[in-house]
Amino acid sequence: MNASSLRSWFTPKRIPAVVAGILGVVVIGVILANSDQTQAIVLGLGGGALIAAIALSITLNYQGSGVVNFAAGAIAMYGGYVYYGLRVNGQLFLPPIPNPLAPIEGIAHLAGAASFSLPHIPVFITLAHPSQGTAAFGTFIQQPAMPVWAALLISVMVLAVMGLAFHFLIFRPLRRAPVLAKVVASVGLFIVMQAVIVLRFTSSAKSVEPILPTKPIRMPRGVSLPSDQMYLVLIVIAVTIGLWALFRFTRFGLATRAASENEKGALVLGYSPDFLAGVNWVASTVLAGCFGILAAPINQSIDPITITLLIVPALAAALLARFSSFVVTLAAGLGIGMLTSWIQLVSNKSWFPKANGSAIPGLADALPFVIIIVVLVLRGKSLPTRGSIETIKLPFAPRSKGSFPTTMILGIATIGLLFLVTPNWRLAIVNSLVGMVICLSLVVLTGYVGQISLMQMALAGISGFTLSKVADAHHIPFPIGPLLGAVVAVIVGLLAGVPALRVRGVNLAVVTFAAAVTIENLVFANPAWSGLQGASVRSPSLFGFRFGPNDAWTKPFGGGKGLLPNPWFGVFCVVVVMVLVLAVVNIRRSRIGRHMLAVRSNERAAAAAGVSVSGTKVLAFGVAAFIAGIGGALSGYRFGSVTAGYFGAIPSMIFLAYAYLGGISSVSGAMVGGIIVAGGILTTIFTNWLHISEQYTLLLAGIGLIIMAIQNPKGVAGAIRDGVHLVQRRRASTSDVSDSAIPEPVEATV
Amino acid sequence: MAMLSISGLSVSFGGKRAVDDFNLEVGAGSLVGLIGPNGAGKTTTIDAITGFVPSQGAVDFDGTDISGLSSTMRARAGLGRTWQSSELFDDLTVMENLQVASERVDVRGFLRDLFRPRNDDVSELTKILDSLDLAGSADALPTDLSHGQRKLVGVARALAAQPKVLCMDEPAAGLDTVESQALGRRIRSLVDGGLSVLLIDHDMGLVLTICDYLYVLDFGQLIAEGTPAQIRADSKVITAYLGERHSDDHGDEHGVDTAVPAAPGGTPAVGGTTDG
Amino acid sequence: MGMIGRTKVLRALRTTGVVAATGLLAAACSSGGSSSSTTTTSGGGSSPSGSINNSLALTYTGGKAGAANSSLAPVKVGYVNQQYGSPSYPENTDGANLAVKYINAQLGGVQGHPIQLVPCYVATEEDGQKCGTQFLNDPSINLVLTGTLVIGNDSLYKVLSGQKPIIIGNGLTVSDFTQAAAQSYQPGAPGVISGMAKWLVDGGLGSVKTVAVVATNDAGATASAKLLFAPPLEAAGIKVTEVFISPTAQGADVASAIKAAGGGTADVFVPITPVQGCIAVADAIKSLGINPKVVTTGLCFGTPLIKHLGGTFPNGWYFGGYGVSYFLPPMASVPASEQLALYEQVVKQYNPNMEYTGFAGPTFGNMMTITQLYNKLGTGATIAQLTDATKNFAGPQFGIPGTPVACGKITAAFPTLCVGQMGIEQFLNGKWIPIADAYNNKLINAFG
Repeated sequence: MNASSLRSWFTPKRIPAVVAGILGVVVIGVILANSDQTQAIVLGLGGGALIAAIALSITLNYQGSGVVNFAAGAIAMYGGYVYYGLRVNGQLFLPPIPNPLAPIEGIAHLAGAASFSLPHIPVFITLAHPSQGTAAFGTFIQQPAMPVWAALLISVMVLAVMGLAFHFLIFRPLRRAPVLAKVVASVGLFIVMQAVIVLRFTSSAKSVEPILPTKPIRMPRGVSLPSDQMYLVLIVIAVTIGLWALFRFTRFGLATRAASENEKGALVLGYSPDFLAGVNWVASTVLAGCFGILAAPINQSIDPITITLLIVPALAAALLARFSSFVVTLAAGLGIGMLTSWIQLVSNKSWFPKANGSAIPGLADALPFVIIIVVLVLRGKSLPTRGSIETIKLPFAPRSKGSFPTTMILGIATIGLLFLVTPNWRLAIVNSLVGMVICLSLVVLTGYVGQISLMQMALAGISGFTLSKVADAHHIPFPIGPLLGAVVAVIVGLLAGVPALRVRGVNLAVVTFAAAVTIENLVFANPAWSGLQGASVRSPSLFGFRFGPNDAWTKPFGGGKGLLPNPWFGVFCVVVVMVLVLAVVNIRRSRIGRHMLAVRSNERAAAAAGVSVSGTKVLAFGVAAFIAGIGGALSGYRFGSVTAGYFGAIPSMIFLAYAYLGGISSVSGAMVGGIIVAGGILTTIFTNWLHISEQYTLLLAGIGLIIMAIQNPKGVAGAIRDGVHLVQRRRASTSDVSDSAIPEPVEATV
Repeated sequence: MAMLSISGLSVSFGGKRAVDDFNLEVGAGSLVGLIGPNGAGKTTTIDAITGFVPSQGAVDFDGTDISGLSSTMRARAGLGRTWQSSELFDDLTVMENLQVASERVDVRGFLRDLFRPRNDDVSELTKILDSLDLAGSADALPTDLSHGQRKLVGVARALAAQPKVLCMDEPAAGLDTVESQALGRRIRSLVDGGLSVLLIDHDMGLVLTICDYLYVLDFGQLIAEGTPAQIRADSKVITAYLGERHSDDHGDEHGVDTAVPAAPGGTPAVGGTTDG
Repeated sequence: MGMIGRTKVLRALRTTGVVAATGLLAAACSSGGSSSSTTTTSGGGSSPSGSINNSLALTYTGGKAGAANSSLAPVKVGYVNQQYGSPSYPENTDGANLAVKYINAQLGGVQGHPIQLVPCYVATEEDGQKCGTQFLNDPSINLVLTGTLVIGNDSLYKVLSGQKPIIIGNGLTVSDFTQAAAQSYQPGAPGVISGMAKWLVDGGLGSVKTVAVVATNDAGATASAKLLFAPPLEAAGIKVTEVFISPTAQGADVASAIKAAGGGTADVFVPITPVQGCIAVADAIKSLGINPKVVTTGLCFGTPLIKHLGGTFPNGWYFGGYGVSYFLPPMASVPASEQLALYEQVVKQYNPNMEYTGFAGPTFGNMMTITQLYNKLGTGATIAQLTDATKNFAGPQFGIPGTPVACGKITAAFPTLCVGQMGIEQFLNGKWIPIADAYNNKLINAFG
């Protein structure tokens, strides 16, 4: 069977059959494998159940409101903490809520009335008091404050309220916004949930006691499974059957399915799409949260990271089910859990891929994604089919005029600022400049060609590590080193971009996310590649002139040693950004830019116009990877090192949010995106001028993302452009009353 | 000599044959019509010819078999098409829409454009726009145009690629009678200028008036072919159009077009009775 | 155009308003919230009773009894810790603040001047560079102490290295111990892990042929397993099987990993994971029905494990640590153990609710050492003087046994290390038993 006949055989209708087949193979594997492997596969069910539950929540969200909720794992984690707080401490914790009285109090304090105090919003509401406990080894062991049923009941109510709040405060206002705006809002939610938990409980793990009975269940061939995991599996199966029946047999389910395709469909069945979305948000939040509660004990502890990051395999499972079939979602979730556990077990076999003599550490995490990418590529089509709705709406991509003088003026002004401002601000400017480079790469790929990428930071990391481990290690001098890094990033970017030729829209977002996870696990976490000693980057120098941020410098006027960071590094960044800005502007103004936008707006029509759709996408992936690679090299020079944690799936996700909020379809948007990145100009305004405690930086970043996504679903740059347009139109309208003659580019894309 | 010739063309969707063993020829400089009730497989035929759906059978274009080529390669070879619903690039201006079709990208040109974008010559494209009365809309966005204008831009974009054969999928759909007739005259003059055209349309009046030769499809099968005069007289065609057996898969266009005027020469129109 | 126009203006205005609005929100938040560490951690009930033995502390710092004079100019110490993100290590800050309170209230500060922490918190890589730049450019700061950093440490060191002296607190990543221009007065992961390996090679657990290792797939644990633990064992002909688990591994993955590593059949099983992993390991061992000899690190000590097991530790496990223990009574012959007891008394008096068993204690000890250095050099100590003093500090370090302290001379691989001795205790039948530590005078020379 060749590839194309395999593709034509692999139709959507056959997915359940394929998944059933895979499960069948797993079951046969269980029967044939030795008892250790059987045990590993069976044990994987427990973890798989939680993955499946989060994936079900994602699918439910997508059906109900068209949102791919990147925060589903965070919601599960949050649910676990709500329960923990109630059960153990008898306290319901509240997220930080703005207190309208605080400014009054602040003014009073400024006026000298230091003792003036107004009521504060409580941090915890105490509902029950823990009984006196005993101390053992410096640790206070107390009896739980609240019975299980009460804590569960209150948790479910809290989760339901949260679901409503998500709907009304965030996603209802965004219901007509582009898909990406919703993705950004869910990324914001992800950050907020995690930040609230760290604020209230710190990030250290908390021990949780089991809710479900934990007696091991003995099975044939010496295999056993703790009963709580078995119950969890049964519950998730029951939930799946319930959801399946609900969506198949009830008017409500029918209406939701109808609404997910066409809002009118739901209205015909007598439901408002808004009501449906709200109910589905409550259901998905309660679902994810409850499984967080039930599953935390299976991991024996709860912390803000572990369950949150299960979003990665859960998204994979939901994607495999095309965000539509609950049964396939369940099967995929359980399958990923079992597969991961099995890979973990066989990682010591002689045939297992090795690095430095021991099994490649990240393979267990990466392999499910490799499988998913392969499945999607086989399933995808090089051109969308007639009537498919796989394209995403994106903001208008303006053709800039007069960008050369503007770029020059801004560039020179920034260079001037670099020498004038204090070191803190200099650092902020440099951080923003590096951020701009990454955002520019997303402008080309996502803004111009419409390919959502959640792997740009991973590509930047590839370049950074190449710079450190290859270029520096072999004494390759400055301008060649970073270029080499960027070229390697291009190669990896093209490899990872191949699936993009056959996968579109949100599916592509998840595929690139999977690619980032794979790169993170197989490259950055691979000791053979990234090394264990840290990856330091030598500061750049040209003709003996060293201009790394930590190199000493002499003030150009008046002499004397200047404060670090070295502003010449900032100058270097400005020059790089200017070159890239002009190049990206030129892309938009030239043939390739028109071809890119043609592909973005209509792949079929583009092909009919003789545009090579695949070629254009490949070129865009390459150009974007190159720009991201330059960004990664700059970042390496900036810190003097590259670290695995800085690059990878989650940072890529957050960077897409920055780029989108700045304005993903224009170069000016990338400038704004750079300003709002972590450690950039906006953050520095927050900390230096508004004196906001670092404690709240992450929380505010998350809230800011959500608010900005709601206020400017097309990005800040787009909103500013709208404002400018408006002023121009005001002027124009004095002479010309007719309004409709003037095109309204941005509105048209909504 | 045939510019475009298909033989044994078949397309299946999930086991159902949408087009079955279809043969068709478009001679150089001729205007060939492809008609049939809704769901007859007309658009699918164009999709197959231009490479948008996988098909079986041979597609010979200008003397070579292009059935192995991608849709992009077919377009570049000179096989143009328009779309039922225009399918314009809404993010680009009208002129940019045309430029996309007329310009090719190569790596060297791309690298040069990065540093010094060319000022591409658009005088040829301006001529095309002029010829379609679109000169004033060159800098407008497609979304600001009327439906009729969008249709014309679709045609202009296809022409911008300087095709040898142009497949037009219902260019007159949604146009009023006057617009439709004007479009017909333009198409005819293009053909007279040497272009070969395969035209699908529901406007029987238009098709019967301007085409040199016609093929009639029903349920994916060829039921008749011949000159407009022969088709008018064909009983199978009349039956196919009389019976309302076909589901309406085109949304806003109902059935076969209502306005089939008396053809020149006084022969009674064929399709005029179908809508009742 | 009226309506559309107006909404657009509003929207453009609101764009700029977001900044102001979130700022206001932050102002509101900061007065509404409170530090959660005091509200969520509980306990502290077992601290030894009795008043603080100030003379012991004064001997160490070289200060004078009594409070510091708050009207005098403070001695400022730059302090960097990873906090407010995930992961974060606020317990370091608890320890540092506790020390400052105690030193200023009862040990006379630095020659009567109050000692003051200038904190800079890290949640992102950018913050590390920012903190470094801030302290580098602040002329009132001549010495920087870190708590725990797994993010931003590399960029921090790049800025400060060779410019201002750095004392590295509870290092977790490799680069925390490869800084030639910084000092760590604790054995840290390199000392503890290498010591465990040496102890096994030297027959601490009898004849060992096979060792199974399950380590978290993060920079610190991977390095520990691959660079520090396995090589000496393999050199001694012991077969080491390492399996790495994802930092987000779930219970099942841990169980599979233990099986894969051969935890049930190897002579010794060594989990190198943070406390979540230890809990999972403890449960997996139970559910797998195996009974291995477990040797692990002090990172397993955390409160969650004790709570999970209902107030005890896994029975029979050996724990590698710094050679003294909070859970064994102090001995006069072991000054470090008495210093530990002193610290517990201070905790009880100043912040009884804080979790004192983790990173807080060593950070407290570092502040005591910094006070000693300043007391010797005076409040006007220069960068050069402090650089020399931190490098040449001969110990003993507060709360850490195993003198002499010899910075840069412990092992060439880890120039930051100043202490190379560690100890091992076992938890057996509800009691802690010294196996090879300061109490039985069998401290292990990790790199000797």
